[in-house]
Amino acid sequence: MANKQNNIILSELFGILEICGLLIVLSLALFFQFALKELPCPLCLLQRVGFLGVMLAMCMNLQFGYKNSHIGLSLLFALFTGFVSLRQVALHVIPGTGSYGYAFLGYHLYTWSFIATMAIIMYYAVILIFDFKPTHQNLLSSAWKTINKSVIFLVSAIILINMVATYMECGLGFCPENPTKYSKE
Amino acid sequence: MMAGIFLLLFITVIVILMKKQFAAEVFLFISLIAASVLFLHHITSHLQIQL
Repeated sequence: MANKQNNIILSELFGILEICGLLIVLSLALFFQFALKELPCPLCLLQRVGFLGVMLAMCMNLQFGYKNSHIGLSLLFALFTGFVSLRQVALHVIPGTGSYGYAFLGYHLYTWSFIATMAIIMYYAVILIFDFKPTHQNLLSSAWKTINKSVIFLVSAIILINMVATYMECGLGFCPENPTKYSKE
Repeated sequence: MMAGIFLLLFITVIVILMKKQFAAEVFLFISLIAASVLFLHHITSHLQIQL
Protein backbone atom coordinates (compact mmCIF):
# COMPACT_ATOMS: atom_id res chain seq x y z
CA MET A 1 0.00 0.00 0.00
CA ALA A 2 2.85 2.36 0.94
CA ASN A 3 4.55 1.52 -2.34
CA LYS A 4 1.36 2.36 -4.25
CA GLN A 5 1.06 5.67 -2.38
CA ASN A 6 4.71 6.50 -3.23
CA ASN A 7 3.98 5.74 -6.89
CA ILE A 8 1.02 8.12 -6.87
CA ILE A 9 3.04 10.92 -5.27
CA LEU A 10 5.88 10.34 -7.74
CA SER A 11 3.53 10.52 -10.74
CA GLU A 12 1.86 13.65 -9.34
CA LEU A 13 5.26 15.30 -8.87
CA PHE A 14 6.26 14.33 -12.42
CA GLY A 15 2.98 15.72 -13.78
CA ILE A 16 3.33 19.03 -11.94
CA LEU A 17 7.04 19.42 -12.75
CA GLU A 18 6.54 18.83 -16.49
CA ILE A 19 3.79 21.48 -16.59
CA CYS A 20 5.93 23.93 -14.56
CA GLY A 21 8.80 23.46 -17.04
CA LEU A 22 6.54 24.47 -19.92
CA LEU A 23 5.06 27.32 -17.87
CA ILE A 24 8.59 28.72 -17.51
CA VAL A 25 9.08 28.49 -21.31
CA LEU A 26 5.84 30.38 -22.01
CA SER A 27 6.49 32.92 -19.25
CA LEU A 28 9.85 33.64 -20.86
CA ALA A 29 8.08 34.24 -24.19
CA LEU A 30 5.67 36.64 -22.47
CA PHE A 31 8.62 38.39 -20.76
CA PHE A 32 10.22 38.92 -24.18
CA GLN A 33 6.90 40.27 -25.50
CA PHE A 34 6.00 42.68 -22.71
CA ALA A 35 9.33 43.62 -21.07
CA LEU A 36 11.57 43.71 -24.15
CA LYS A 37 8.76 44.87 -26.51
CA GLU A 38 9.42 42.04 -28.96
CA LEU A 39 6.13 41.31 -30.74
CA PRO A 40 5.65 37.64 -31.66
CA CYS A 41 5.48 36.69 -35.35
CA PRO A 42 2.76 34.29 -36.65
CA LEU A 43 5.14 31.31 -36.41
CA CYS A 44 6.09 32.30 -32.83
CA LEU A 45 2.38 32.35 -31.92
CA LEU A 46 1.88 28.93 -33.52
CA GLN A 47 4.77 27.59 -31.41
CA ARG A 48 3.03 28.99 -28.32
CA VAL A 49 -0.17 27.19 -29.37
CA GLY A 50 1.84 23.97 -29.70
CA PHE A 51 3.39 24.31 -26.24
CA LEU A 52 -0.01 25.15 -24.73
CA GLY A 53 -1.47 22.05 -26.41
CA VAL A 54 1.25 19.87 -24.88
CA MET A 55 0.59 21.52 -21.54
CA LEU A 56 -3.18 20.95 -21.76
CA ALA A 57 -2.64 17.25 -22.52
CA MET A 58 -0.38 17.17 -19.43
CA CYS A 59 -3.18 18.87 -17.45
CA MET A 60 -5.47 16.05 -18.56
CA ASN A 61 -2.89 13.63 -17.10
CA LEU A 62 -3.23 15.48 -13.80
CA GLN A 63 -7.02 15.60 -13.89
CA PHE A 64 -7.87 12.17 -15.31
CA GLY A 65 -4.66 10.15 -14.79
CA TYR A 66 -2.02 9.12 -17.37
CA LYS A 67 -3.74 7.73 -20.48
CA ASN A 68 -2.46 6.81 -23.93
CA SER A 69 -4.79 9.32 -25.60
CA HIS A 70 -3.29 12.20 -23.58
CA ILE A 71 0.24 11.12 -24.38
CA GLY A 72 -0.72 10.80 -28.07
CA LEU A 73 -2.15 14.33 -28.11
CA SER A 74 0.99 15.65 -26.37
CA LEU A 75 3.16 13.97 -28.98
CA LEU A 76 1.06 15.39 -31.85
CA PHE A 77 1.32 18.93 -30.44
CA ALA A 78 5.06 18.47 -29.81
CA LEU A 79 5.54 17.30 -33.42
CA PHE A 80 3.51 20.28 -34.66
CA THR A 81 5.64 22.70 -32.61
CA GLY A 82 8.79 20.99 -33.89
CA PHE A 83 7.69 21.45 -37.51
CA VAL A 84 6.82 25.12 -36.96
CA SER A 85 10.08 25.94 -35.17
CA LEU A 86 12.10 24.03 -37.77
CA ARG A 87 10.34 26.06 -40.48
CA GLN A 88 11.36 29.26 -38.70
CA VAL A 89 14.92 28.05 -38.25
CA ALA A 90 14.98 27.24 -41.99
CA LEU A 91 13.85 30.79 -42.80
CA HIS A 92 16.92 32.23 -41.06
CA VAL A 93 19.50 29.48 -41.42
CA ILE A 94 21.19 30.85 -44.57
CA PRO A 95 23.90 33.42 -43.71
CA GLY A 96 22.74 36.96 -44.44
CA THR A 97 19.02 36.25 -43.98
CA GLY A 98 19.00 37.81 -40.50
CA SER A 99 17.07 36.56 -37.51
CA TYR A 100 13.87 37.31 -35.61
CA GLY A 101 14.01 38.80 -32.12
CA TYR A 102 16.57 38.59 -29.35
CA ALA A 103 18.81 35.62 -28.63
CA PHE A 104 18.67 33.84 -25.27
CA LEU A 105 21.86 32.10 -24.13
CA GLY A 106 23.23 32.26 -27.66
CA TYR A 107 20.19 30.79 -29.46
CA HIS A 108 17.02 32.46 -30.69
CA LEU A 109 13.71 31.48 -29.14
CA TYR A 110 12.64 29.41 -32.18
CA THR A 111 15.83 27.33 -31.91
CA TRP A 112 15.17 26.78 -28.20
CA SER A 113 11.62 25.86 -29.13
CA PHE A 114 12.89 23.13 -31.47
CA ILE A 115 15.25 21.81 -28.78
CA ALA A 116 12.42 21.83 -26.21
CA THR A 117 10.02 19.92 -28.46
CA MET A 118 12.65 17.27 -29.17
CA ALA A 119 13.16 16.96 -25.40
CA ILE A 120 9.39 16.55 -24.89
CA ILE A 121 9.21 13.83 -27.55
CA MET A 122 12.16 11.98 -25.97
CA TYR A 123 10.58 12.37 -22.51
CA TYR A 124 7.34 10.77 -23.70
CA ALA A 125 9.30 8.04 -25.49
CA VAL A 126 10.93 7.16 -22.15
CA ILE A 127 7.54 7.20 -20.38
CA LEU A 128 6.13 4.83 -23.03
CA ILE A 129 9.18 2.55 -22.89
CA PHE A 130 8.90 2.15 -19.11
CA ASP A 131 5.06 2.14 -19.22
CA PHE A 132 4.94 4.76 -16.47
CA LYS A 133 1.20 5.37 -15.95
CA PRO A 134 0.57 4.77 -12.27
CA THR A 135 -1.84 7.57 -11.25
CA HIS A 136 -5.04 6.48 -9.54
CA GLN A 137 -7.01 9.70 -9.23
CA ASN A 138 -9.46 8.25 -6.70
CA LEU A 139 -6.63 7.66 -4.23
CA LEU A 140 -5.33 11.23 -4.38
CA SER A 141 -5.54 13.24 -1.16
CA SER A 142 -7.48 16.50 -1.21
CA ALA A 143 -4.21 18.47 -0.83
CA TRP A 144 -2.89 17.00 -4.10
CA LYS A 145 -6.21 17.69 -5.82
CA THR A 146 -5.97 21.35 -4.71
CA ILE A 147 -2.40 21.61 -6.04
CA ASN A 148 -3.54 20.06 -9.36
CA LYS A 149 -6.39 22.56 -9.67
CA SER A 150 -4.04 25.47 -8.89
CA VAL A 151 -1.63 24.38 -11.63
CA ILE A 152 -4.50 24.09 -14.12
CA PHE A 153 -5.74 27.58 -13.14
CA LEU A 154 -2.21 28.89 -13.74
CA VAL A 155 -2.27 27.31 -17.22
CA SER A 156 -5.66 28.91 -17.95
CA ALA A 157 -4.25 32.31 -16.88
CA ILE A 158 -1.34 31.92 -19.33
CA ILE A 159 -3.78 31.00 -22.12
CA LEU A 160 -5.97 34.00 -21.32
CA ILE A 161 -3.00 36.41 -21.36
CA ASN A 162 -1.89 34.97 -24.72
CA MET A 163 -5.41 35.23 -26.12
CA VAL A 164 -5.80 38.90 -25.18
CA ALA A 165 -2.26 39.79 -26.33
CA THR A 166 -2.83 38.03 -29.67
CA TYR A 167 -6.15 39.81 -30.18
CA MET A 168 -4.43 43.13 -29.43
CA GLU A 169 -1.69 42.32 -31.95
CA CYS A 170 -3.59 40.68 -34.81
CA GLY A 171 -7.28 41.43 -34.21
CA LEU A 172 -9.57 38.81 -35.76
CA GLY A 173 -7.67 38.46 -39.05
CA PHE A 174 -4.32 37.00 -40.02
CA CYS A 175 -1.26 38.22 -38.09
CA PRO A 176 1.25 40.46 -39.92
CA GLU A 177 4.51 38.76 -40.98
CA ASN A 178 6.73 41.31 -39.23
CA PRO A 179 4.61 43.01 -36.55
CA THR A 180 5.91 46.36 -35.29
CA LYS A 181 2.97 47.54 -33.19
CA TYR A 182 -0.29 46.33 -31.67
CA SER A 183 -3.20 46.78 -34.10
CA LYS A 184 -5.71 47.48 -31.28
CA GLU A 185 -3.89 50.31 -29.51
CA MET B 1 -7.76 33.78 -36.44
CA MET B 2 -4.88 33.12 -34.06
CA ALA B 3 -6.84 34.57 -31.13
CA GLY B 4 -9.60 32.08 -32.03
CA ILE B 5 -7.20 29.17 -31.56
CA PHE B 6 -6.23 30.52 -28.13
CA LEU B 7 -9.97 30.80 -27.39
CA LEU B 8 -10.37 27.12 -28.33
CA LEU B 9 -7.52 26.25 -25.94
CA PHE B 10 -9.18 28.31 -23.20
CA ILE B 11 -12.45 26.44 -23.74
CA THR B 12 -10.45 23.19 -23.51
CA VAL B 13 -9.00 24.11 -20.12
CA ILE B 14 -12.49 24.97 -18.84
CA VAL B 15 -13.77 21.61 -20.09
CA ILE B 16 -10.84 19.90 -18.30
CA LEU B 17 -11.80 21.66 -15.07
CA MET B 18 -15.39 20.44 -15.61
CA LYS B 19 -13.93 16.89 -15.77
CA LYS B 20 -15.31 16.09 -19.24
CA GLN B 21 -12.45 14.01 -20.59
CA PHE B 22 -13.77 13.12 -24.06
CA ALA B 23 -14.94 16.69 -24.77
CA ALA B 24 -11.53 18.03 -23.70
CA GLU B 25 -9.78 15.63 -26.06
CA VAL B 26 -12.07 16.66 -28.93
CA PHE B 27 -11.51 20.38 -28.30
CA LEU B 28 -7.75 19.85 -28.09
CA PHE B 29 -7.79 17.92 -31.37
CA ILE B 30 -9.85 20.64 -33.08
CA SER B 31 -7.29 23.22 -31.85
CA LEU B 32 -4.51 21.13 -33.37
CA ILE B 33 -6.32 20.92 -36.73
CA ALA B 34 -6.98 24.70 -36.71
CA ALA B 35 -3.34 25.47 -35.88
CA SER B 36 -2.17 23.11 -38.63
CA VAL B 37 -4.43 24.85 -41.16
CA LEU B 38 -2.94 28.24 -40.20
CA PHE B 39 0.57 26.78 -40.53
CA LEU B 40 -0.24 25.40 -43.98
CA HIS B 41 -1.69 28.77 -44.96
CA HIS B 42 1.55 30.44 -43.83
CA ILE B 43 3.68 28.02 -45.86
CA THR B 44 1.58 28.24 -49.04
CA SER B 45 1.33 32.05 -48.92
CA HIS B 46 5.03 32.41 -48.20
CA LEU B 47 6.22 30.12 -50.96
CA GLN B 48 3.56 31.27 -53.46
CA ILE B 49 2.61 27.68 -54.22
CA GLN B 50 -0.62 25.77 -53.86
CA LEU B 51 -0.95 22.35 -52.28
